[in-house]
Amino acid sequence: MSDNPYVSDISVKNLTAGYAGEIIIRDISFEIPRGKIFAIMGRSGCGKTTLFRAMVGLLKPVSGEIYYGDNKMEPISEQPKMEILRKIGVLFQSGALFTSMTVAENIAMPLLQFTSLPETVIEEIVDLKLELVGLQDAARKLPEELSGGMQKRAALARAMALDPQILFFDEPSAGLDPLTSSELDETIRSINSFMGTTVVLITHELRSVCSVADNIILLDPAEKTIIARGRPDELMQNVSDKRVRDFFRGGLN
Amino acid sequence: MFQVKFRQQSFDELLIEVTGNASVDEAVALDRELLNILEAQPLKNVKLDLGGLDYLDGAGIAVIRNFVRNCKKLGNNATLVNIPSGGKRFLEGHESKSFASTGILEGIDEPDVATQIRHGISYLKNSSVDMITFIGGVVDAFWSGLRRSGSIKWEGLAKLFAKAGVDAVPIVLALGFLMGAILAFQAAIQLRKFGANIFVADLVSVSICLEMGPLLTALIISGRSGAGYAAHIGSMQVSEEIDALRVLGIDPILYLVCPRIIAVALAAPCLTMISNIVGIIGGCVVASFSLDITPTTYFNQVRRVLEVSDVMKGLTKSIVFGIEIAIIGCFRGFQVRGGAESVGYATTSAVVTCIFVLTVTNAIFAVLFYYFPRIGVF
Ligand SMILES: Nc1ncnc2c1ncn2[C@@H]1O[C@H](COP(=O)(O)OP(=O)(O)OP(=O)(O)O)[C@@H](O)[C@H]1O
Ligand SMILES: [Mg+2]
Repeated sequence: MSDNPYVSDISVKNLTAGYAGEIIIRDISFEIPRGKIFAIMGRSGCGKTTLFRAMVGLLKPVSGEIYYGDNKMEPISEQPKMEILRKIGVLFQSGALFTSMTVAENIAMPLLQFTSLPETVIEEIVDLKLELVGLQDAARKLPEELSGGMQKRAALARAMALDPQILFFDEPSAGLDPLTSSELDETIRSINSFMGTTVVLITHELRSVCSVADNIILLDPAEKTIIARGRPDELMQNVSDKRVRDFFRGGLN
Repeated sequence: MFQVKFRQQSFDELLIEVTGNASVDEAVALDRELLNILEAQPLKNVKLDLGGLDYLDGAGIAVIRNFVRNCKKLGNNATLVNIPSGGKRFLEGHESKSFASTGILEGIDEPDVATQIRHGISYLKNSSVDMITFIGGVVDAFWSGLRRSGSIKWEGLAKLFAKAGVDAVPIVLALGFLMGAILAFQAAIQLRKFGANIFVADLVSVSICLEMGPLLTALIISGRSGAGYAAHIGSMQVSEEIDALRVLGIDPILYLVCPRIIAVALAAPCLTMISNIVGIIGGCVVASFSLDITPTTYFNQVRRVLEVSDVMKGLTKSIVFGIEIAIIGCFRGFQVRGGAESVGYATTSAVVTCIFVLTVTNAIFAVLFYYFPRIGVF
């Protein structure tokens, strides 16, 4: 699909980030291979959202670099890299739908911003994406008229509007019932396999991670950095590190 | 219900037995009873037996912990025995702990005056720097918007103008009319003394078009649109909507602020004009009832004294006021960090800042018009 096979690779190099002088994550490095599902895990408050915000350019890192292919990401507020932003889709932890627009307008927004498609085509795309997340009937509703889970799904449809090469999900299944959440896993996996989309997934759901993810990194709030990385089965087998063992065993008991 | 029994067990040991329920409903009574026993008994070692408890909840646990705290304060050694299994985690070994919770409800100490002044000054400095940065961002956004004029994406201007302008017409009509009437009344009392009744038209028309009209309208807009923009953008900040715009590569300033500035800059002079007209009419009504001036005489006099330049000066001011209000409202909205409380604060401070800045700007205009009477005359 892409003209440039390197673009989707993300590499994070020695990233240190935090808020107002307080360091939250320190000296983090990892690579995300193209077309894989990559999970960022860790206990609440360990800095997953912080890492994700730095990766998409919403938070200026204290030090370190983020590369998309060989294109360096800069903080959006200083130097928006449109060619990178065009290729990523983001699902925020709170959904972040534009409250003054209908669901359909929300989904059309990225299309209007980055393409000059005729209106009828945009309408078709919006329709398609709504179908994908099962919200055909909600197109003309305002976000406030949807349930929490429906808002999440509408936000997912918006994140996927441009068929981005990289999708970021910050806790997509938080607040969803088990059935919807496993449907969501299925959606993520099918997007990944059909379109070769790289997925960066932040989640607490061990079950879904184990079935979906290709690679995992585990952050720790005390160390403020990565304490384990690898394939899900490798980490599940890990017995040497107590924190890793507790995290993976504790969750499934 | 609960029962507390106590007896001396050895020459320096007191045994207290609590039985029944130690629940939130009984907590006050239990706490008082335990304290009374402690204060009445001179024995050094106090053993509290919880074996007879049927029910223990969070408040009960807190009362027992408070009992331990009181023992320490009074110089007794407390021991807890037969702790029910549910409370073990919170009570076992608690006798030897230091009290981390002491004073946590007392609020944080206020810093001394010098520190407060220092904080105030640095806050003032930071917020001025932020404000100037923000204005720079706005100018930059307008500039880049102009260069790519074909592809500007921003919120619907018509809707914003309708909200800031059209929706404000009723209140502007009402307040503008009253303002004119009040001015005429005040003038009437003084002018009647000199038999100079007709000059009420001069006073009302000139002061409304030059000062009262623009200022009154600007105040109404501050309260409606200035506060509204701060609240709207503030809550977008809280719900990550601004971030969502940013990752779409949309500059929130170009998308949200620029159209609002244009909308208010257009709405303000229109509303001012309306306010001028109804103000003069209000003056006319009062003049004809309390000063026996016919409307014809009144409007002839207005035509003689009111110059186009006066009206234009007022309108020029109101455009500047409008731009300021929109910038301040949006700026306060973007300053929001955190939650709902911060949005409320932004709304308040938007209105206060608007009133302050409007007054200062009005003073500057007064000086400018005095020394350069031709400003605002096109
Ligand atoms: N805007 C902010 N200002 C200051 N500190 C913050 C801010 N946002 C988060 N933090 C702090 O950064 C740390 C990490 O927060 P973060 O939101 O990245 O956690 P998380 O791993 O995403 O947690 P969760 O799983 O609960 O979403 C927390 O200790 C939090 O207190
Ligand atoms: Mg988070």
